Amino acid sequence: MNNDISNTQFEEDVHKSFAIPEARPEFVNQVYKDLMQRAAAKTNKPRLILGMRPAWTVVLAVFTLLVISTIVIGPQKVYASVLKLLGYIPGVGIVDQSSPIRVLAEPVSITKDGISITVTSATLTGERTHLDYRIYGVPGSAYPLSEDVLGCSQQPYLRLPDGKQLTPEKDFPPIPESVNEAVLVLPCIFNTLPGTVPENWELKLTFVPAPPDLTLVPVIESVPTKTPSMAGNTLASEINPLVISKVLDIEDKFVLMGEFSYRADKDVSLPADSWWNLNQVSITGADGREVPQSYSNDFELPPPTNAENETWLYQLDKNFIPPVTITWSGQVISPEGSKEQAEFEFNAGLNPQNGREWTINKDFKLGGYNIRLVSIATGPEGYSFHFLADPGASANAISVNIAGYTPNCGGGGGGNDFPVEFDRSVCYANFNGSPEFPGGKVKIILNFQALTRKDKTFQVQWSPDTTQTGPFATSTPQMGVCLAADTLAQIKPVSADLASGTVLVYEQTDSANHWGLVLYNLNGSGKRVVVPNGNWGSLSPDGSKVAYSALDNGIHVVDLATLADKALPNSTGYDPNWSPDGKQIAYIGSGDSAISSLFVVNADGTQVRHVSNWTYEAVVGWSADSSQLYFAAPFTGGVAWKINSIDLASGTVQEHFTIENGTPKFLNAKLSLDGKWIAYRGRDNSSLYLVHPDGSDMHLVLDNAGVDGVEWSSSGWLVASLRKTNSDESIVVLINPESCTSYLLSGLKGEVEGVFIP
Amino acid sequence: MAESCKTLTSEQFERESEEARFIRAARQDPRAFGELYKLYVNHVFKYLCSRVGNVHDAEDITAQTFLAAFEAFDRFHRDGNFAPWLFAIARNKATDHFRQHKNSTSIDAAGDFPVDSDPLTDMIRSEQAAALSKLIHDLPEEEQELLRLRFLAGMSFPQIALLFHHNEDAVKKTIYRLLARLQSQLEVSNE
Repeated sequence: MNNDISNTQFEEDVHKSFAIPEARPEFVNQVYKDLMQRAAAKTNKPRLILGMRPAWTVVLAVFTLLVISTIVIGPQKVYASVLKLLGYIPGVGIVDQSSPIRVLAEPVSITKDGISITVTSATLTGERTHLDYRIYGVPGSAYPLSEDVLGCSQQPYLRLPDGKQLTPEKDFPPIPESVNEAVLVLPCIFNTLPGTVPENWELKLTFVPAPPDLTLVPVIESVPTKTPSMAGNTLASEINPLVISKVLDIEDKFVLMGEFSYRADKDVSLPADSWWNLNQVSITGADGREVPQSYSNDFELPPPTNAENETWLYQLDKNFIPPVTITWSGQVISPEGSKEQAEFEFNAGLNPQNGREWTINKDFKLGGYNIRLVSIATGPEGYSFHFLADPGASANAISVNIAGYTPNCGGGGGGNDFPVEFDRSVCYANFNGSPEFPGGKVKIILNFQALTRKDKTFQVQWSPDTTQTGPFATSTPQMGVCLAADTLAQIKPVSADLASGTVLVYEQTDSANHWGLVLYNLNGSGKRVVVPNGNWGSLSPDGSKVAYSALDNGIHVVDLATLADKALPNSTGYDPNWSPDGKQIAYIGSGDSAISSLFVVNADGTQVRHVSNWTYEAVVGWSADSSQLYFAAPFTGGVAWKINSIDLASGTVQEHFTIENGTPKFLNAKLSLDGKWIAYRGRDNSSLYLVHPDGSDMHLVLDNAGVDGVEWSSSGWLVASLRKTNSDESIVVLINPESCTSYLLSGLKGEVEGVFIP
Repeated sequence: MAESCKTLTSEQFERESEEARFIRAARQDPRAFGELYKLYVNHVFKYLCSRVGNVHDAEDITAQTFLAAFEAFDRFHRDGNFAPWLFAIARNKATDHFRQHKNSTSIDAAGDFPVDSDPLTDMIRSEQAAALSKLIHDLPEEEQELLRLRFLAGMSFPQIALLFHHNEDAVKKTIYRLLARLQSQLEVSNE
């Protein structure tokens, strides 16, 4: 940042010349109050009340549960009572049954200028109105060029026959029982730029009583009356800060909700300014086996009893042996002794430029450790300091600041790895535009504070009603499912005849916390760091090259024989994918009016082509003859993905089918090299599904297994990395999806980016 | 030691700016959005005041901007760069305002400050500031917008670059050249 210019009186004059007054305090306070009222409304959702829905079959089911629960739950039980009987509709959540439930009479659709909005379903209860609608056909050019820019943000609303408007929070407010019609009004399509697509959409909706076959799963909600105190390293007399506050019993799942109230800075047994750092959460059954857990947006967390408490939710399949033990493991970190400082002068020049680096090699002795400042570099917003120190030094607090300047971020370190080489960054160009970051001769100050770290665990145990424990220990595998979270431990290591293949993974490559691409043999041997610092790897079909996205966002190709790294000129983006003939690379880039759309470049870097103008696309794969490119594009109004292919010769786009149960976050859809299957991650961000490219035979193959990376070999093997719960590490498995033959690739811990099996 | 220890040690407290902490807090508790509001309300108001030309409309659009940002906050997924996102909303709201009030206000007219509000009459403007104001008013709208974002919205160069999808260096150069041009024009007009 150029201080000579930015700090001149002239800039001050420019500022003053606008002659804009400060905002009136009365106005500022009024808007603040309005925001706080809305925030309070968001925070305090109306509570559900006991009730039944009219569909008599559901009443019967709920009544049966009520009777059973009343019999088995007595005053001596840890969990005292069934408080509420509720209904659960997957995708909608817990519904109130005290008033008749209504649904949409039939889907409603409107099309204008090739864009369709369809309301597919509605669920009306006494407490809310849940609508599902989809928007199709919005051109990419209607959206801003970047996610940082928001287009239209006017909310949709429901207009009732009397003119009253209902605006949504998570859902719309309830519609009175006497009202069976409403108009859904969308002033605009969310995030589109003004004037680019039709506005003011109105869809007339008609509601009818829910049919008797509506899927409404009975739910028993209970509130534990006491939580066993099992805090590790904690006196028995202490109150356990890890508390279960609500449990939902929903068909084959339990949903446990709770809060955590421990505050190390208020723990009188610790030095002042101590803090708690959570490292891991584990949930185990009585047999010691880990109980897989997942999160669901279908449930509302109860508000914490204290605003500072942390709330949590775990959804557990009922295939564990009770009781389950929830363990939060972490460390209490406390300052020890007094702070030490060292300082030195450094001249960055009057106009330090981004990307500059100075070799310093200056030694300091702090806290008894030898600490060398190796170099200083400038970044877009400030400085980065690179250190080399005695082992263990970085487990203490080491930070950097520049005398006379107030940073707005960085300065310190953190995390649980304490490498001998580490960086500290500090930035100055803040969000309000000033101050600029320092230049010229400055005084650098190194701060050191010794820290002590003490492991601490908190546990809470929970057991469901004992009469129900029998069925929990047995699980019935779903048809077609190859692996589930509870069967992963049974996978055998890869067989010798497959060990000659290679797998490309994304993992940490050095102690300085750099992450890159590493090649392994299938049996975990032969580790080769291919790219020390890069991402989005793709192994060529013959296993001889790796394409990846470098730190500068450029697409590079590495020859595995020589490790020669070549940047493909004019190709910037990510998610490279080799064509089966190895001659082309597809990737996601930005250009013209579309962002995150498909590009193709020859493998030698020539002929960069922008092949589609959709937005937020993801490469799915190539047809076996390298003529078609499959890609996924998200729907704007929902969480579905449309699978399309483009003929590269003609540019013709063909829509194939829609993935309705995929994750909206990172679908990671991958077409098998023989073109038979598309694998993709499920909506739980953990399962893996297979489907034919025409949309047929969709089925689950990995159930709640923590799937992140997915790749196909040319021989039809599916390789998947499965993220361990609350960990950066994965296990990697090789699966034949037809036979479900599965192998563990021992020793691999990274995210799979490519596979080659000769 | 107590205060410095906090700023030196915990990852939560050390690495994240105040804004990033507010963003994270607001994801947990919608009430924390109030802190982001306090951080930006004056900048948004000043920016909009310059755009629309009167305090009343600026207040109205400022309120709309923050209410829209509050409602859309679930879709803001970054831990930083809140300003470009917020000012994109403010710019869109201002555009909506001009579209809805075609007969009463225009972007061109919006530069005619001061207007009829009491706080503005309190402003004491020097002769040089008045001349500078006129020079700025005569700039093309795009250049005025850059100056507004830089000096009224208080945005950094990287943030303006993000907002316009420009290279940061290009934004810097444009603004510096613009300032240099204004300065030389001002010197000429004062001679």
